[in-house]
Amino acid sequence: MTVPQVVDPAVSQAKFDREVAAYRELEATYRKRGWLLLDAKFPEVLVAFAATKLRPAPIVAAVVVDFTDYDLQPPSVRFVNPFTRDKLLASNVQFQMYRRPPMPGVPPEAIAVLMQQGGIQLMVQANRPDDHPFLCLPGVREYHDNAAHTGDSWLLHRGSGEGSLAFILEKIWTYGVTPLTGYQVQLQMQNIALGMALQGIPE
Amino acid sequence: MSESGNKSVEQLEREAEFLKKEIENVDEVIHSEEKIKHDLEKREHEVEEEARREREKHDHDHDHHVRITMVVNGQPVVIEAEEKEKLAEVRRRALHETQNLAQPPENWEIKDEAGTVLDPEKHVGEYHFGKEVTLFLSLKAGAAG
Repeated sequence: MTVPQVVDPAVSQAKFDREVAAYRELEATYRKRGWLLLDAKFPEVLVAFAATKLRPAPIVAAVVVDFTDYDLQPPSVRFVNPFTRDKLLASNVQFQMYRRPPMPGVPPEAIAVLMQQGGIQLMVQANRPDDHPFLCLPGVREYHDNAAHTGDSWLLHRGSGEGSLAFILEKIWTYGVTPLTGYQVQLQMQNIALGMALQGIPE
Repeated sequence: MSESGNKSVEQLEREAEFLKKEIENVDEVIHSEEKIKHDLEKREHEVEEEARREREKHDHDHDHHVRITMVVNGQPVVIEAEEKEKLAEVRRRALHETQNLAQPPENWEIKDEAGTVLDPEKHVGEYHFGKEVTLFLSLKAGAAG
């Protein structure tokens, strides 16, 4: 649902322009990280994320950051198809942002156990598989609008640095993209035939 | 006939004794002056050595400045840092200059371009950045989910 602009559009537009200009100043650096700014027209910014550690490097996520009513409201973040810009349903998003409790020096095996036991926090949330997933993080509109976070008003965070374009993109990259280091391929063999060399067939 | 032809033996012996003492006094003066000269030479050497060390220290400090472009929440600010400075101090200066004072400095992680978190307690020189580097101050994510 599109929320009507309440703040003077000139104010939100000026703050939007400032955010985009700051991004443009460091765009070459961000591109090296795999951030691709595909479109920026008030009130929305479309950014795709490529996982640069993988070969070939896939686009693993794309988000539309909506600055409507910024910064009386924090930006809204939605996961979209990077080519069509269509909002994705939770069942179609093959992307997650993981966050574990601080445990310096913990071995990978312990992290795997923690993950199995649900001790790893998932920052991309959805109410239902057929609902749009959202980024559940302070500084993001969907977090502050969520009924579970009514006690954590955006106005307590506004001006602290959270909710800026750089902050949101950096968190998606840190928790969702940088942990990706390789492809996982699963093969399921239905039929197994024995192979032979044709020249090996006796006369 | 010698000049001392009219003097008695005792007079001559007293005169010789007197001259001997005079010579000893002169020797003492010479020794004392040589000691003063030696002390002055030693001091001159120390001062020259101190001047050399100060010059080297100045050159060293001058050569070991690092121009750090600190990107604070997307906003770049240039900090001239010394290699002996802690990254925590550079962070404090960058936050002060950009007026990002709502959060304590500890809530800002220092990262390089690749996203690696750097230790704020380490000195700038320990990371061998070279003359220039771009670092990022990234606000820690709040409790999510």
